[in-house]
Amino acid sequence: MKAVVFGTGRIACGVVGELLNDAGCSITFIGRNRGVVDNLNRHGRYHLRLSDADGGVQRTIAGVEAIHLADRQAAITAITEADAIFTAVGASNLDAVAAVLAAGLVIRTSPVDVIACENHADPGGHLRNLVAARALEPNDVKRHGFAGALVGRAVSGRLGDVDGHEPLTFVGDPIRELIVDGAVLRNPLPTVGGLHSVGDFAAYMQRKLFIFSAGHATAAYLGHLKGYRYIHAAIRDQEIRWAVLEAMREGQYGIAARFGEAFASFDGAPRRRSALRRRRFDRGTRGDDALEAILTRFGNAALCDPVSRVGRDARRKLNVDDRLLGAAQLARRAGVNPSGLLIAAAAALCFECTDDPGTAAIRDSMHQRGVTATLDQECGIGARSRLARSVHAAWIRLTAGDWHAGNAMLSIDRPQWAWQG
Amino acid sequence: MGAQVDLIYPDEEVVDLGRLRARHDLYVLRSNSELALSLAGALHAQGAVVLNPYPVAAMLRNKIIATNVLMAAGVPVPETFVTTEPESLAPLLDSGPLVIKPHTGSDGIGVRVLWDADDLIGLTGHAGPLFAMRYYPGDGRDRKLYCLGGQLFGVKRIWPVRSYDDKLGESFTLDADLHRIAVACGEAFGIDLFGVDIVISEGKPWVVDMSSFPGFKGVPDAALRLADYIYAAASQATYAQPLTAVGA
Repeated sequence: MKAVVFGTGRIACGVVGELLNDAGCSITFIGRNRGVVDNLNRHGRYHLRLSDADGGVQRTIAGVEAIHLADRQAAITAITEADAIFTAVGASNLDAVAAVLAAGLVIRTSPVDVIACENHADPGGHLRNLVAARALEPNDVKRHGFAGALVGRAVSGRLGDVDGHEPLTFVGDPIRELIVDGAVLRNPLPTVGGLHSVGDFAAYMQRKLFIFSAGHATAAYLGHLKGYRYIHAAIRDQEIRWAVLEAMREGQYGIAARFGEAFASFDGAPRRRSALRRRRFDRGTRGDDALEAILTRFGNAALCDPVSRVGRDARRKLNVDDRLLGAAQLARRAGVNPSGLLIAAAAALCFECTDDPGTAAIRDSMHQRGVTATLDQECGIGARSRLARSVHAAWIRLTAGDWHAGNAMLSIDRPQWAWQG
Repeated sequence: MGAQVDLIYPDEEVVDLGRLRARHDLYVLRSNSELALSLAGALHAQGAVVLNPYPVAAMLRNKIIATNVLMAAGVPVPETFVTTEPESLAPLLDSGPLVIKPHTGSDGIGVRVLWDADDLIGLTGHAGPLFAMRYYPGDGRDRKLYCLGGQLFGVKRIWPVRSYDDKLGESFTLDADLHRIAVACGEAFGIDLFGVDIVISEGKPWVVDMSSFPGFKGVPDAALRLADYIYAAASQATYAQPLTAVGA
């Protein structure tokens, strides 16, 4: 079986490549990073280092080849010969691969599935639209399956010199899970542990976004405010740990109300209209096992995951449908005050990250216009909406009105800054 | 990734200099001892990455050098004199008391105030340099300024300390003056991990000491912040990745 993977980065090599390799597929990566493409071709393999608190393993993914995206004809040929196609290029980069994907798909004789492993509300639909827009005859594209996929594994980075004599190494945690939107697939998925198709993909997507991703973002934004560089350090700060747990619980409430408690606890399939049993969580108590497991993953120092990476693109992450404020709205509809998510959103407004246009837009807008106008113009949240006013109130409470870039917050509970501006 | 950490206690073991090799990605020079500093210097000579860099740690170990560097950088430091002749300090006492410190000392050991020429009698026979700084009485609590990876923190502490709580002191928010002074101290030596002792006398802040690797007592979550910073420094040394600067 032949598989094409668009992307040569963390998810492409660190997740998709491993599963396809274990399914017995021969893998062709198509990427834009010339150095990585050349390295993969030079060595025909790369390493995967998977570590958690219990230790780590290193394995080798061999028999791989790579094509540069600019080598259009080779890429089209690979697409026409593939039994399955995956993308893991980052949602904002899908546009760059849509044209060559369209060119390959329209000349295929058999339908194929294109599985988009991207952080997007509807990755499959988004990619299908991008590809259809570049095909002369959109129906030539619609006969193929365009499915989204959720990545379970955290892959923090790549080690090694792309020009060096050694294969590259990708570093991640051992979670082995890729959940694919099964409703739109044209063919069976390769059979391999960790690769699943589900019928109610949107529910799985929202669960990950509003619980795991919400907690991850909370750790990053509060971690940045308190001056931590790595997620594993931030999550060991008791104030941040509590805030992350609180944000995830609020997200969990919303998911439970919508899809059932068992699903929200990662312990069953989605089930609509569940009878939500209100629970009271007191500060200092443990969350349920699923949330504790997520906190443990955040604390994995082997990932060496920078706060700057996790918090990147604050504008997207503050969007009305995204992990913080989307979760907050769902929690509110479930009758829960999303105070933790609102504090995290307020912290996101203070985030700083170089070379990140999505964060720079928030920063510039905050300096020029303030909280509610920034939410309105950058995040699609009406300035006079209840949500915007709530975030504004949380921002005032969090910062005590004395926030300055580079300053460290000494305490979240009793806002105190390291120095006066 | 992750990190393998080996602890070295040079003052509690025998070090075979012939086998001393720079084998680690990063050496953290925490100890104030002369032997630890010397070994750090030997590793530095082999090309090891030391935190703080050996030349800076060595300068800060010596108050004569450190004070001069701070003065040259425009940091407010009390007027300071060095001599090997205790009696030569007598005329200086006409202008006010002096505080005597061992020029390579730390933790307040050997510090004494000279109020008048009679106090010099006890120094007769003193060997080595005498480091004498103009004494300014504080306002009751010393200020400790800490820089940890570029982040600045302030702790108020009584002197002398009598309990562990006294050592922890009370964290406070630096005002613009103290912030500027702390930044200037770091820039003078090109480091972002250090401690500065400040005395506020009649409303004016004076830098009376600076150390390369203080204990950071009183800084909220100091151990966690320090581990975070050292991890970043180790990553930089190992993978040549830039440190993730706070606020960057």
